[in-house]
Amino acid sequence: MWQSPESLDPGTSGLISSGYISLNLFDPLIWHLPGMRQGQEYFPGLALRWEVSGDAKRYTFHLRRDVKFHDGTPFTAEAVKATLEHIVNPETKSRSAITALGPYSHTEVTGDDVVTIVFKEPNGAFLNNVATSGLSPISPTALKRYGHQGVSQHPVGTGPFKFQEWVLGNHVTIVANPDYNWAPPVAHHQGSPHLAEITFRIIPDASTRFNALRTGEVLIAENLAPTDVQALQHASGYTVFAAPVTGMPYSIMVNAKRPPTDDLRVRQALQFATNQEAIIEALYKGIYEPAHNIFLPGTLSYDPTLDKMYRYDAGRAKSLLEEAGWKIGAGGVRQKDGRPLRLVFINIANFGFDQISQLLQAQWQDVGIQTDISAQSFPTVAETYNRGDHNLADFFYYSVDPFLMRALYACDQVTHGFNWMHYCDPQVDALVTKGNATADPSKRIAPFRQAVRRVMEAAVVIPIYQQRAVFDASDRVQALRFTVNGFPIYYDATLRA
Amino acid sequence: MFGVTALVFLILHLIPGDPAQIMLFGTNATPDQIVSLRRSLGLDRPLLVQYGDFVWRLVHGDLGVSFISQRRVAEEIGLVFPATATLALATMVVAATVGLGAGIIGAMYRGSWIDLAGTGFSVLGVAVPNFWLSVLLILVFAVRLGWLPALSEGGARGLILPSVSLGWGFSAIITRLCRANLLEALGQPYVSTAYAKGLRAGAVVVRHALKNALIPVVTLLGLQVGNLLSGAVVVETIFGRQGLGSLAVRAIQAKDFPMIQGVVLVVALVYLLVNLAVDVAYAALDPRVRYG
Repeated sequence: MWQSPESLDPGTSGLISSGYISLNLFDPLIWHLPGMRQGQEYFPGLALRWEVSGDAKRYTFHLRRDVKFHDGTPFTAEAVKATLEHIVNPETKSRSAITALGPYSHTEVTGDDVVTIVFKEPNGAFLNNVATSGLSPISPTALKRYGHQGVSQHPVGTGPFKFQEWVLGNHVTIVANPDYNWAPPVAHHQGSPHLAEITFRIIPDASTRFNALRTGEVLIAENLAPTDVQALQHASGYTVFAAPVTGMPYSIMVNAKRPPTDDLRVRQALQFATNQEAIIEALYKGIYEPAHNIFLPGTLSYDPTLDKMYRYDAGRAKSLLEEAGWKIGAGGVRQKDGRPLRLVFINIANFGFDQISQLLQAQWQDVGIQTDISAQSFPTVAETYNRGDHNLADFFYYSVDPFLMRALYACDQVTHGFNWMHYCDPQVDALVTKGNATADPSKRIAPFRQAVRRVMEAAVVIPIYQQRAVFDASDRVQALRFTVNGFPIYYDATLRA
Repeated sequence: MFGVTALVFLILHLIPGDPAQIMLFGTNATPDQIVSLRRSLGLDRPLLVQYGDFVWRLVHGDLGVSFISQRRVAEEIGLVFPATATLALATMVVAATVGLGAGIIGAMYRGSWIDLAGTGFSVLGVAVPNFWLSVLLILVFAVRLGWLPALSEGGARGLILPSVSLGWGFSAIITRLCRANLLEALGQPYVSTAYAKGLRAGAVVVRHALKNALIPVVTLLGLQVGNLLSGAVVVETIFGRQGLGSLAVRAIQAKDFPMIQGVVLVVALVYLLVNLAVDVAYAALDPRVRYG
């Protein structure tokens, strides 16, 4: 792994690296595993059945009675309640989980095996969110014993693996839970996992991870340099896993407030002047696919017809710029009222956009747009983006639900959230709220599709490529599967001798 | 030490980026939440007050609590310090053995092919940056030949590549200095006297000349501790090794003020202590130096 987890409590952490580990230590109430069985997406986890009220405010789960936490505490409805109360407690300083939980009101416990989670507002996204590791139940005994902060170093769940050791900044070791007998029905086997022990080594340097994989010191490496991934695709003895993820692709956000990108025609011209296929060919051939939609294909309500809205067409880009009054001037750069057509492109340093921005610079130069590229390190860059000093910003966003639009496109997210497009359309806000007013997927799709269409018509996001969770492994690693957001599931995995 | 605390404190607070905002990033925090976190971290107070508080706690032996892990800074540093100390020690052993060895041989067989090889070796050592050398050594000895691990874990085998990567540069400096000083010492009258007493060349060099030639080398070793620890930052990262260096990198990325301050203080303290030790070592090497 490249990043050090800051906590092993799924309720606290905001880092993917923590999620990779805690997914094995904790079980969700339900599993969302599309594509594993025809015609079914959701499978029982710690809950055998569930019901959602029509207004998507009450979610009732019927729990398994045969589950025990790693410390021997029986799993009951009280444990679910204790976990959610833990997440909303300010002392916990929850990051991802509190967002996943949404407008939580309270939990009602009806006997040992029935629990109802009640929300203040409709929360149609909850079924997808409860299926991620963030809201997985934690042992109430451990919560009492170690406190809201302490459980981050003493994670006690119900998962197929138990926590053994965490050497800060170096590694985390987990071992098989021999009592485990509540795997989802789509798992290849039941009972305790095949692997006796897993060590997650933290190796921040990409070439070190690559070397350690080649020497056999690690069996799986994530996030290698694209050239190294390409090299391993052609080498024998290795398997390259590229698991699709859901949410928003790697994209460029276009500032709709700052001139000259405050002009819709300029933003549309940028869309037509962008050649995603050429970027993939140059940088990520065989690893990623080009993106032409602000949603990734696996995301609920993804509309493939929108992919055709903007396709590379330099002629179209030029005529849009002419129409907007930008005429070719000295050195091939367009001008209007004596000012050149110059865009401020601020990259997030070490975020993987440096080469992309240079290719874009060249592509846009062909239609007469000058681009000044600079980089700022995270999180300073977030303040810059929130202030709106840029025309163009980098972004991607993993999410298991289309409700991610609330965090990215809502009017109230402009100055302190992720709405770095400084884009505000009350109609989009209303559509997103409507899409979340029910838990019925068939009713959620239409409003989200309309919202996506409006955002794409406003041309505030230039999608670049469909990122994947790429893991390079020794071919000894077998039967590795992935969650909908690209997290490896080690439960069924085996190691060939 | 006082100067170090003031400087580090000032630099940390001059670099843009608010730790509270970093910690809450991705939580969709409201401005109120950020303000309240800033208050709970004590970051809303005037700089001078924050600094005063920091120094006050420092003189009471309290380095504070990490913003990120919520563990005590002293405890975290204590956990990784042995790893860096081991690496530093192994590096010194490599540097001293190779450096002194090559220096002595070079001086004894001045102008021969072995001296030239030593000189070439040390020129390379000074010229080649340790991050490049690390990568090269990993490629050759770990990936190609499979003799040594690419990751530096607890064992001695894992220590070889990092300490060689880090030690080569230092050994080169030692070689140059040792050779030059030894040559100078070998020209001194007392060496002729020793030869006149009928001592063999080896005994003359080791017992008489080397002792005098070592004084500047020991001074240099003390001064190199700073370079050694900064080199450790790079080498620890490349070999995925635990230590002060990788801890510092993580802390800096997260703007974990108490942790950065703690690491810098410990490094400064080590530097101070090593140079104190060097001063004491003079007395052992040079009978003219007496303390107290």
